[in-house]
Amino acid sequence: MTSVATSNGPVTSTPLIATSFYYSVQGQIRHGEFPLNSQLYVKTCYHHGADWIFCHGIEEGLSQLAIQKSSGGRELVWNFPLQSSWKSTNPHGWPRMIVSLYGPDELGNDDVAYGYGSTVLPICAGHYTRTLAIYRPQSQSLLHKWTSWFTGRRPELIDPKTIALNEGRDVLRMETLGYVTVEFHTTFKDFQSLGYDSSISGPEKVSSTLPIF
Amino acid sequence: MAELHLIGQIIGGTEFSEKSICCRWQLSSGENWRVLEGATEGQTQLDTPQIGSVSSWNHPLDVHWATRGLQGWPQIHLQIYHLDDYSRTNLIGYASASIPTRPGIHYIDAPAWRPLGTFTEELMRHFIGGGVELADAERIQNGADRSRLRTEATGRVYLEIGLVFRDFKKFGIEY
Repeated sequence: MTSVATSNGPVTSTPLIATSFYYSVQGQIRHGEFPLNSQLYVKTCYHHGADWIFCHGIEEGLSQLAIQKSSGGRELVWNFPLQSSWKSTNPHGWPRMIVSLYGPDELGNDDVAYGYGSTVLPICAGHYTRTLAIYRPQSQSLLHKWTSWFTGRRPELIDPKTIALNEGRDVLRMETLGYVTVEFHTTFKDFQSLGYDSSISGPEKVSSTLPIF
Repeated sequence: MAELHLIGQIIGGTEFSEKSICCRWQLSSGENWRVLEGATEGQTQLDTPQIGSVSSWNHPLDVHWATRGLQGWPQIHLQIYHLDDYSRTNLIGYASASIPTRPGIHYIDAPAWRPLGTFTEELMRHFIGGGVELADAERIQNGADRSRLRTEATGRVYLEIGLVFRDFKKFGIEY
């Protein structure tokens, strides 16, 4: 409470109450494992609800083309920085990051779509690592599979943000081709003062619960 | 009224006898709970993993409830289907899990089972697919009337459940 003294005596004014909270994420896309591909780059974007505003950071990112180690390692290392700051009044519509992978194929076609994946940004403050499964639409027939292999025009999604939605997923036939590891460090401002609590940090294992990919 | 946000995903399924699988899901809650925002049912994509053993659905969950009481805490019910080479869908599992009761990020797995039919029905299932399904899945998945079922274990479904609580402490709820 702030009180202001005037010549008529002290007058109290109302306390400052937060009406929105701030959420900030730093991190990186560390590396990917794709046994069937050796060169890929990543595009990142975010999907969020109507109550969220992207304040600051890289909203759509594009990484370098990563190539496997010549001495035979399997990892494609991007080490691509992620930064985003958000302002919101409502946890519903929590931002999800969507990654899309592209790269040249063996026949020399550039920018072939290799897959998509997404993760929700962590709802607790702290340091989190996520493994994203990367999947792409399957070809509908054998003929389509061969022609897309020749021309380098594989089935791709018109809008990668589809994978962050609930509707329309049931018509997708996908195949998982690899995994991408992402790291996040998150902080909040005024989340708790609005009455929200997501305070148990870190994953709680009820049983041996993380899938072993 | 206290509020609960569930923000997470259905990660995928593993250890099923088939790899081309998808899942229908429903979030159910009791009378004290009212859904304010978000979809409480849906169907995931179908995934056939080319590497690894997990069929990845990566299906977003984002629901906002308001509640007047603890009874009827939300649960998730899943039905797992397989799409075979002839484009027929076969049911290969039912699974349910309770939503955890503490805020934070939880990784839980729901073990799946399928009901077994008679010897003839199982033989037919082996040759032409199909198999028996529950007539009233909702009742059974809530725990009633199970004593007459014979079931077989199938695979498991992994879920990432993030929970944000609001004003629970104000109403004296301890967690």
